[in-house]
Amino acid sequence: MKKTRNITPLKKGIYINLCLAALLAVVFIIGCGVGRYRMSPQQVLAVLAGGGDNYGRLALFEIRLPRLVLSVLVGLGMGVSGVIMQDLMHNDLASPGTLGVSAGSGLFVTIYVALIKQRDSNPFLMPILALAGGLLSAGIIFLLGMKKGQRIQPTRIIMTGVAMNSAFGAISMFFMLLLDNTKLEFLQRWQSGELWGTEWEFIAVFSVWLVIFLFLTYRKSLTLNVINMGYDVARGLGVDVGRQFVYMSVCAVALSSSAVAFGGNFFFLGLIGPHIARRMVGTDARVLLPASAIVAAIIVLTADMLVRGLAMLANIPTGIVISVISVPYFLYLLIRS
Amino acid sequence: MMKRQDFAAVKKTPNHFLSFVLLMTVGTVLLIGVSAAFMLFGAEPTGIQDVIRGLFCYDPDSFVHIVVRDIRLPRLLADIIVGVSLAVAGAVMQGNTKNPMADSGLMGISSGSVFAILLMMLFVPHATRLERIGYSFMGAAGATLLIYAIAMLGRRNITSDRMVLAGMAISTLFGSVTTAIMLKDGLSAGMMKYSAGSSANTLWSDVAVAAPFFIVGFLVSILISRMLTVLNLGEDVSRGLGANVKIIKFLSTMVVLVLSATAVIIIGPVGYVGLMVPHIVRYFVGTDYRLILPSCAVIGALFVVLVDLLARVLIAPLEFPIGVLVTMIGVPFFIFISRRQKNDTFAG
Repeated sequence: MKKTRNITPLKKGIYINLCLAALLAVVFIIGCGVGRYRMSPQQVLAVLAGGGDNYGRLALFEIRLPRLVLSVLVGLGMGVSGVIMQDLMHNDLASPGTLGVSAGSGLFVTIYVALIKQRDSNPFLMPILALAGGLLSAGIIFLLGMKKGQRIQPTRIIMTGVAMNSAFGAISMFFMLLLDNTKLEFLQRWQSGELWGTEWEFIAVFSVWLVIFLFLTYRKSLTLNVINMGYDVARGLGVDVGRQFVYMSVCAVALSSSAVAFGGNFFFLGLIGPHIARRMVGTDARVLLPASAIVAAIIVLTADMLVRGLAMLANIPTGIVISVISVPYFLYLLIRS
Repeated sequence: MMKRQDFAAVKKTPNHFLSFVLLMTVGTVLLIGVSAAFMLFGAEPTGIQDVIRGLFCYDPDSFVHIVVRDIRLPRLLADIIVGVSLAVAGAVMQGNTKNPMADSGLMGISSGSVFAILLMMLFVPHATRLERIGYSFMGAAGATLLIYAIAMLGRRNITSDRMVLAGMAISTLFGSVTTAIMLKDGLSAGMMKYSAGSSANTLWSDVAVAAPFFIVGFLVSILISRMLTVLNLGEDVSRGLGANVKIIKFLSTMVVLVLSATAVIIIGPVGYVGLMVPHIVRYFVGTDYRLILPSCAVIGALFVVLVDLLARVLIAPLEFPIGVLVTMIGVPFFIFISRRQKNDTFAG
């Protein structure tokens, strides 16, 4: 790549994105075959094309595909949300997890499960509550993190996020102590990132939701680039920083809370995805947003593959595998920068 | 513990010394008052006479006496031990990492202990209490090693906010592995105490096993308090003043480890005590560790006993886990401190 001329960073980014998308497809196909009933990629493709045996069709369409599609969607949401937050805060440590936004969604979901949830209650109440919780916590963190008469201080907002994270965690913990064992286990699994919303109707709603907000975000990718140069620069270039900040934040929260609601709490995903992607394609949001989304999706798919494929990890929430892999990377980032 | 000439040296700043004496007096009086309330109030109604008789003329057949002497008293002692341990550990850690946000809970040390205790429950289910402390200690040591390594490996001095993030990451790491094992082996119910933090069901034997470690840890911290003050002037200065920096750092780290591990074994992971108490104390008595550590001990004990009293009384006969209540108080305080910090934005 180094010596070829006439390749702009943007073009290079697009190529890398295409490669990543191809890689995602490959991982997806391989992932379809992993599990107690193993299938080779050829078999998977055959089933997808409409052939294959009954057994394979059952395993694929009823059990595996929903879960894999959900993994991809969660990855897309978290990856994009992380990029937005990091660009807005000018800080590589921002993410839905570290800012406490996911924890806010988590608290609302916990309260819902503890107090409201019945067998016949509307399944879509949970995602809506998650969104409300995410927005509320983002608002609180933002207000507490600001100081009167001063401009936005990313460090302070992040520290506030960390604090709110543990406050929400503590309240959730209190409600969890009131629960019986089944609900307790559901919540523990959900909090550590289990892909649970594997019903096609969930996935349909989730994907429509994602598409809307991905579109709304991507429209503003140039604005994001400008804000990333600094608030003053952006202001000088005629961007209404305050308004765009709120707009982008709402998009980021909407993306991450839907991922949290349907997929579970993936703490470091929104942080790691953008980092890896940035190393590949640079900071231009036009190529970074899709790249980060795809990278995060690949991470979730791979982790989920490990969970389903290795007997040792069987029955463990996928998010735990992601945390164990990504914490060392996160610590490395802390040390290095 | 303090020698005469030390006090003489301190007297040069009469202001701080006076507030130290005041703080200690008021703190001790309040501690005695709150402890008395702790013994009196609770789910089972007890009168003053019951408490006094339960303590001094114990009748093993009387239910009230059992409540007073075998349920409330060990719990009170446990709270005191935990309060002193966490506050002193926090103060020492803040001094030795020069990080105002240091706290054994926030830095992930407690989560290391919990993780080790879980492993023990899994592989050595019949471990004695003493062994349990050993495991808790090893877990704390592992987490501490990690956090110190991160602080030292950084290219430049790590800022306190990054330290907090590192602590959070380590907590998450240990926490998620702990959850994984809990879910896999169905230990959820038994481990909930260790994830929420609660001093309920503390037995005399728990207190008895933890007490020696606590006493040794606390005494060592008092012994090195003078050196800690010197160390706080900066490593070069303290070397110039003839202090052995390595030994102080080693001893103070051991103190943090022992005290944090003891606290976890009794009550589970409780954050923020080690952050709040030293900050409040420093506001009154300044930067001399000979004054800070004893005041931390008193105020820390007062704080934890008070919060546990509230936890038991607020929604009696149910109770809050103390960890939850402490966090709810600690978070606003944390936000307050982090707002006061200098605006060291990171170049990341």
